[in-house]
Amino acid sequence: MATDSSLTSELTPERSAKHPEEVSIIDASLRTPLVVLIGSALVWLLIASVLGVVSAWKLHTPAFLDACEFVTYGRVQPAQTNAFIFGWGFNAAFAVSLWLMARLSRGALPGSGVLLLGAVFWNLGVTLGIGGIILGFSTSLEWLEMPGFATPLLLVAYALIGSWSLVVFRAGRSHQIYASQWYLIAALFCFPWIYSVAQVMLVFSPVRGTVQSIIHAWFSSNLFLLWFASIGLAIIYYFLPKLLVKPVSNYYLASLSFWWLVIFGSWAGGARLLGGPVPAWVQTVGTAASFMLVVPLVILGMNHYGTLAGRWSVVKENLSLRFIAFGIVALSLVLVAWVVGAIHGVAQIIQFTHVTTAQIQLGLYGFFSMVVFGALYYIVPRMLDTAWANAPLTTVHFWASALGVVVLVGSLAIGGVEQGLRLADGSIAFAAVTKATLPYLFAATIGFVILAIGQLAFVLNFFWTLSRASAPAVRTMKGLLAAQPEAAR
Amino acid sequence: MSADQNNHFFYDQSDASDESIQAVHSQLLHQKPEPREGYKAMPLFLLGLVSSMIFVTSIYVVQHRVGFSPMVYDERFEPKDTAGGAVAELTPEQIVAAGKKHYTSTCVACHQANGQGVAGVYPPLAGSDWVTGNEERVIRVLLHGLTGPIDVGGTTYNGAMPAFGKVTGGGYNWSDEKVAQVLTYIRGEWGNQAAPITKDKVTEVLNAEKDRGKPWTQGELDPFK
Repeated sequence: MATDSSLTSELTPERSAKHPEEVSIIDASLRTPLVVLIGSALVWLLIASVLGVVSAWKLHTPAFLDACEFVTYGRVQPAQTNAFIFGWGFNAAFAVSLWLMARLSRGALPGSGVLLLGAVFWNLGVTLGIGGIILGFSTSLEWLEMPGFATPLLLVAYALIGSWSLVVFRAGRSHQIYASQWYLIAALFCFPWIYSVAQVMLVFSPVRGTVQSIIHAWFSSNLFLLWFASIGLAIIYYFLPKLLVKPVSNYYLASLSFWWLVIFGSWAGGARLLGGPVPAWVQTVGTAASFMLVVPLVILGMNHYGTLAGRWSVVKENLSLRFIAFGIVALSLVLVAWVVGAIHGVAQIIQFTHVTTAQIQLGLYGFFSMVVFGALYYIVPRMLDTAWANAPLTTVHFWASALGVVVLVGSLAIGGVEQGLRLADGSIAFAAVTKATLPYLFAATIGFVILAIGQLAFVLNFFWTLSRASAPAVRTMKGLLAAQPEAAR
Repeated sequence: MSADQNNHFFYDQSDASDESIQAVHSQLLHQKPEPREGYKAMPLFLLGLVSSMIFVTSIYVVQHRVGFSPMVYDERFEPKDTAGGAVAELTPEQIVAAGKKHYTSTCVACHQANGQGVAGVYPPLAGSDWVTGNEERVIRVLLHGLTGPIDVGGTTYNGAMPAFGKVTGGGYNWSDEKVAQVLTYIRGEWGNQAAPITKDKVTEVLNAEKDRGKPWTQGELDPFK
């Protein structure tokens, strides 16, 4: 719109920014904690990729590695999910959100001791938790499998890490708050809320009966919508205007979609129980709240695609934008699938089939991980003050990830719909239905293998780049204030 | 190629600076499009979308809330399906029991629990040919009421029986089913041994007299004796 284009000229490039040194000081102050967080995220990503291949393989070839109790499907699969979510997802989200918050608030990290301690505790907690799952202490609640002796450590570590985003937010010198910061702060406060409620009501002092499944559906849908989607949206809202040098289209609507998502997203979990053994009104409210997601879907679409419109050639050229654009499309598909899946007739077919897995993989891999990859391709070279070590590896990473997501999600979605239709047909035996999903499960394994190749390329590239980076210059908040005393507020 | 761009990121930082992103968007946030410039049909469409989503989902919730009951597990459950079926299946004993309930909540005030009425004021129901006689007459009495002097078992009463049916000027508006139940009860109680009265018969009488808006008198009811 007209107002947008007139403001485009006010977006000044970084090289001619008012405080040119500020950016490098902020990046340098974040360097050590970010290297630790991203490094551990990538190690977990690699572990999750390997476990993903193993568990996918066992699904169609049960005899694979069946002699050892530690790698039975019931342990490998939750270990993979938890390594992916709490190992890769959270470490990466911590790193990216800290960087985004520091950059947007224009505040450097005052010190990194507590933050590093938090990072160590977090990874210790995840290691304990996944070790517990492998050793057979799983709680058997999806995404909450980590045994009770590991999770309090996670919450403590979260408090140590998460509070630093608020510290840089407060210490920053920006007087405006941008959409990315809304989402970051919302995510920051939502996670301890949903995680502690789920832990107390499901693990430490379990509620009785069907309330368990309601709490669980509420937890898992909120973990996606209020944590992963919020972090992902913060990244998208930051990088679109930054890399396209163009204001977000229809930006004034962003706050509406933010509140809408936070309020109704919290209720949308009930739709995951359609047809399940829970009171009908819970399903009804869940379906209604899921329908409400149409509004943020449309507004996010106007914001994102409206900004991308006419700039697709830039997307093709820019590695970060390619990942982020892929994530934007995946997010739209996730929300569309969410809304459509909440329709009673559709849920009758796809509920409790491989489609559910496809939706989760599309959300966590296709949307969240891809968007985070895009952000990391931008952040890492600036943080380390050096370019990516190897260009072909980045190309391999993008195409393997994109292809892997398409193969994995596509095969599970198509296979799941077919599975659902066959399950609804009383004349087909259950064993026959299960057997008919084999080709799709095999295709999903191929998807996991392709993804693993892509992740390996990325991890190699990161540590290669890290090894080439020079020793960090010691720069802290003091340096920032010394550089621009007149800018202090 | 992307890698080239990355290789030269520190020579050519052409991306928008964080400060300008903040400044431009905080302007945009408070800048609603005015009708005179840069106005698009989009916001209007969005307003429609938001309103219709709220409207449609509210109706959906109301339609499928099933009373927010913790005992109902299927949102397509219709409470009246089972309730309606159950009423059609009432046994004769249940009909009499329902009639007794209606009698003791309302009729008992005048006609007494033993059906003897109050001497000289309210006529008895036990052993009265008004009750056990032609069903056409007793249905009419209950539906529209009765006024003026009447002769019951040789005694003359001069009171007023209110209208209980769904008739003009009636204060009770009992359903035909309820009328049939209470009549069945009084025709079989206190030694009375008249046949039960069906709901369909009450409906038939009500339809035959649908223009009547005032209570009967003894003279008017003589044809139905």
